[in-house]
Amino acid sequence: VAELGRFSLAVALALAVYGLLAAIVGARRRRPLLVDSARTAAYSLFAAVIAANAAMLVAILTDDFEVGYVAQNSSRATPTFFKVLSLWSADEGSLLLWNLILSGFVAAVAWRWRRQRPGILPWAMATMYGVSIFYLVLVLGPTTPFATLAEVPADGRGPLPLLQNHPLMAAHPPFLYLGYIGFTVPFAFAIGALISKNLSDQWVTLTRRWALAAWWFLTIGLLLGALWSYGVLGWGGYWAWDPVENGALLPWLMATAFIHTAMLQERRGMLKVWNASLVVGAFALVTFGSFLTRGSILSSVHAFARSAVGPMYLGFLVVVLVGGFGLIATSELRSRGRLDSALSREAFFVGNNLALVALTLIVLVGTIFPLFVEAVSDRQVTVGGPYFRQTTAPLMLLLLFLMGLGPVLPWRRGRAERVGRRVALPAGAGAATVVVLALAGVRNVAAAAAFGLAAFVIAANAGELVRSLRAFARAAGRTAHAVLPSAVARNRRFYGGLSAHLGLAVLAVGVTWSSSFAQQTQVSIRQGEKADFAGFTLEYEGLERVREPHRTVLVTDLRVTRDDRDAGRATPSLNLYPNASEPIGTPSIKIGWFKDLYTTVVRVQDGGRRATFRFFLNPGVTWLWVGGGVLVLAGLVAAWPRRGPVQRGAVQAAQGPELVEVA
Amino acid sequence: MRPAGGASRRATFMLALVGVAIAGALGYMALVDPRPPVTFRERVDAVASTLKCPVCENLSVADSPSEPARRMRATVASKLREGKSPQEIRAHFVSDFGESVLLSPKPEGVNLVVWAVPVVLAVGGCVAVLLVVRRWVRAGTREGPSPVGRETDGDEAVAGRTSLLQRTKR
Repeated sequence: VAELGRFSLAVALALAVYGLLAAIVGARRRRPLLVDSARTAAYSLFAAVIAANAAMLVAILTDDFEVGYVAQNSSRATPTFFKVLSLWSADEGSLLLWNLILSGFVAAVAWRWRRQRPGILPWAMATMYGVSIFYLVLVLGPTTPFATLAEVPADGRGPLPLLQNHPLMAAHPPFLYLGYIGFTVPFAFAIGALISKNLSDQWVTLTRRWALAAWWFLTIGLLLGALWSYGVLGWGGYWAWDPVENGALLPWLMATAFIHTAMLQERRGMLKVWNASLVVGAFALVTFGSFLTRGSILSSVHAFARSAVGPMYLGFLVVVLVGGFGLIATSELRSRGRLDSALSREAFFVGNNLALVALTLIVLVGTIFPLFVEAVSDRQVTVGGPYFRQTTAPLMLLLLFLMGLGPVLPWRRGRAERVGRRVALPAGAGAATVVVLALAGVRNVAAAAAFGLAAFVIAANAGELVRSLRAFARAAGRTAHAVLPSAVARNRRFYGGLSAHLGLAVLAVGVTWSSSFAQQTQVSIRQGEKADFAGFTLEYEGLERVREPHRTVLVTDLRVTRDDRDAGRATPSLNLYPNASEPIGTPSIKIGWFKDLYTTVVRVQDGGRRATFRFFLNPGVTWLWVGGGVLVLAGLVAAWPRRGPVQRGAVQAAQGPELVEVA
Repeated sequence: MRPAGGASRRATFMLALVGVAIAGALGYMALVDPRPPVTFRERVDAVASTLKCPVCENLSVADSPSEPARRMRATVASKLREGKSPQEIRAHFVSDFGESVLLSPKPEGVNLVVWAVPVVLAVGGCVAVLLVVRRWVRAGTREGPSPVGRETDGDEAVAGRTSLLQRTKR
């Protein structure tokens, strides 16, 4: 099976090299057949990478411990579900998954443009093959997922305990990867446009929906990561500002900037250079993020040089940055900036973009600063949560403000009186929120400002939703309720955008609330004893031992009462894995609309007669998930592929004279 | 601002009122009513949340459930009881574990870079936006109103109305 895997990867590499060369030669010498063979090679490439992944899956499922990766990351006792997850639970395997998704995107692009072939397609395909070659070489040389062991062990070591502790691990990496790798498509088309000296806005029009889809997947990936951190890691929080998390946030911020300014380029032909730079930057950050997820590289610069992976990534990153920005700088891509008024949505898009890019750079600098210090001196510093919270909070508040004001402004030119009238109610809602909080005894200025701004954003965006629905209803002579589906179907970006702002505002409420007003305590109590915490009384009733094939679970049982009324049970547990020295805790969370009672068990003593617990009261976390859910649905509304007659205009715009007809 | 009717004067008045209310409420929070006295546990957490748990990826001593973090919290508590200041306690941990125990780098020497970057970016970004928008608006006024694009007004409600009308015509 290992040979089959290696062979498939070698075939895939050959196909990618062929695709790259055929696309370039075909585009230069104008050989449509060659270009088309480069396009269809994508299907074979996808098939070959599927075969490689399938080979690994078979090796894992059949307990083929001759394959080193299987011996390291799976075991006979591992449940089948977690065996499948072992496919991407370590470096080498996750690179296989990366290649799978990447070749899937190449094939999807080939399929999407099987009938109309925009002129930049060959160059875009060539770029995607180039990226593919890099990631295929990574799994063929420096990392070797299919390396075999000379001495076959009787049993494998099993996956890392943390990764086999929760089913969420099944969904988080694939979504994150779909998001990461999705940015390859806009990047490839931008590069394709630059290389073929196509200075039109075609690449933006063609890949807008791909960028939105990538943004959407990355949003889900980030939310699932937060959910995993909260529900599994047991430290009471959901975001720790650690390098890997930051690595996923960075392209998300860039992509958010791009999906706004892409509209400016489409509508007004502005910011061409800026948009190309954003896409190159987002792809470079994806490369950086992919690099960060390869093990603990950021823990020390010295770990970096130990394998060939680090230098290879660095080289690729340099190629992307120098190549991408070099192409932009030497191209004749220029656009004149002009605005009809500072009081326009365009002007506010410029503002939100600079805020988002500044935020990206701050998080980036903070993330790599420890490496930089270690490289220039022998000191070691940490840049952690407190730093990021302090430095990003002002910009996040600014973004909330822009998120409320921007949608209220019309395109081109807003008239002060009209804007004032539309802003009055949302601003009043924001002010009322702040005043009520002050009177209620809140003494946290930053949190109050965030709540006030969130109220402003919600009122402003909901107001715009209602206003436009009413306009529709008037035009159609029906009720607003009745026109809702057709109105949304016809203006998906508009309604999707407004709803995304609503979701983000709710999410901001959840984040502010939980990060500013959480409580926690640690107690050690005997069986039958009670502990009081934040209005709850928790009584430790006992311990149960559950033996599972791959682990032993110690489940503690806490009876929770509130004001002498029964409030259910909390059952935090400790999981003992044979291959882990320390037990892994699983929190028990009593979720509520306004506060979560989050309990974990730290230690069990005297055979369970005594136990040490940590209790957290996390207010508002539910609203983080609610807001995230709204954001995801809104993204779906905006990104869903259009069908039917509405599409005609868009296709015509995309076709244009550059379209190459293939016989 | 150009002279406007009663509706717009009301809006201006509302906005002014909103500004005053927000400023008043935030000022009241910051100044008038002092914070409630902090409990000992909160003082421990305040110090612990600035220290990195040595065995974790990026968690503070206040957040981490690990054993070393628990011991460090106990040390913080006992030192606070001895009357040590948060700075002294942090200095103690730095001498034990090195500078990397601090979650926020001390703003001195090369670390000034990481603190200067956000300020420069935030201030520079704001200035850049103001300058760019001003220049582009000037360019816009010089050339008159921009050519009409695909949508007549860009106001989605209006664009939606036209598309609905087109549909009924079809």
